[in-house]
Amino acid sequence: MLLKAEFLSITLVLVYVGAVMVLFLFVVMMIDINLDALKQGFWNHFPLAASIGAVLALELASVLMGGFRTVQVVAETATPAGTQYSNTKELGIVLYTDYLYAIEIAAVILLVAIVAAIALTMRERKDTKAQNPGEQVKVKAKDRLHMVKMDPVHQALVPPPAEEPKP
Amino acid sequence: MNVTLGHYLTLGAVLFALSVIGIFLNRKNLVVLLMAIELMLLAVNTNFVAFSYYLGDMQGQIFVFFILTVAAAESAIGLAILVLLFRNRSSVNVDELNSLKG
Repeated sequence: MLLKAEFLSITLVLVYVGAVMVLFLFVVMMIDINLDALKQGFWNHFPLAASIGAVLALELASVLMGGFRTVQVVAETATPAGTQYSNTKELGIVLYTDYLYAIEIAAVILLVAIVAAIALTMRERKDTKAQNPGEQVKVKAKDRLHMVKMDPVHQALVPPPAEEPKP
Repeated sequence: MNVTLGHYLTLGAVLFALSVIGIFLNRKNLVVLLMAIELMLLAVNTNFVAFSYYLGDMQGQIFVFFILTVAAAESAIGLAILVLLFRNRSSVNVDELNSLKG
């Protein structure tokens, strides 16, 4: 927001709050983690991690604050800073002309992510009675009805059994 | 006090260092590991937006878009793998990930 990138800031907030955070929350709620087993040995790596992090942060900060403090803003002169200027419009124009193939590849990546996530987590349930449409279509009339050859004569000729005499 | 490019880059660097600390500190919980990776990508995004503003170039913001796409896909697949791991081993320990080998 501070950097005159309004569309991107709102998009980042929406995606991270709306999608990623909800996804993480769902997973954390769905699985029941035994925290005690994970907590043990948590602080074993702390000195290593803290030293690495501190060194990394200090080096980066020193280099960056020294090297880039004098860079001036070019954006005000490069873009028309009037009231008509719209960051979203500019972004859209560049995105859908110069980067058309890239955005299509990004769409394909998202599709692959959807397919992979569903394929990884899907499982067959044993206790449901589901139909298999493929087998239903492939079935023939011969499988449904069995014609049994029988001799029609023998049963009719046998006389009914005689009644028991009553006492 | 004027905010310069160095301040933004320092903010990105601090976020990145935090996520590196998170990864080193916690080698067991896969959820926190994924969150640390997300934070790392967010730090890179901050750098991109800062450079895009200070150099007057739109390409940086375009690139942030694609990083965002890849980050979302990565977190989705990572969480799917996490659910799979939890279903098979009933834990989120990274050390047991090799038990998922086919």
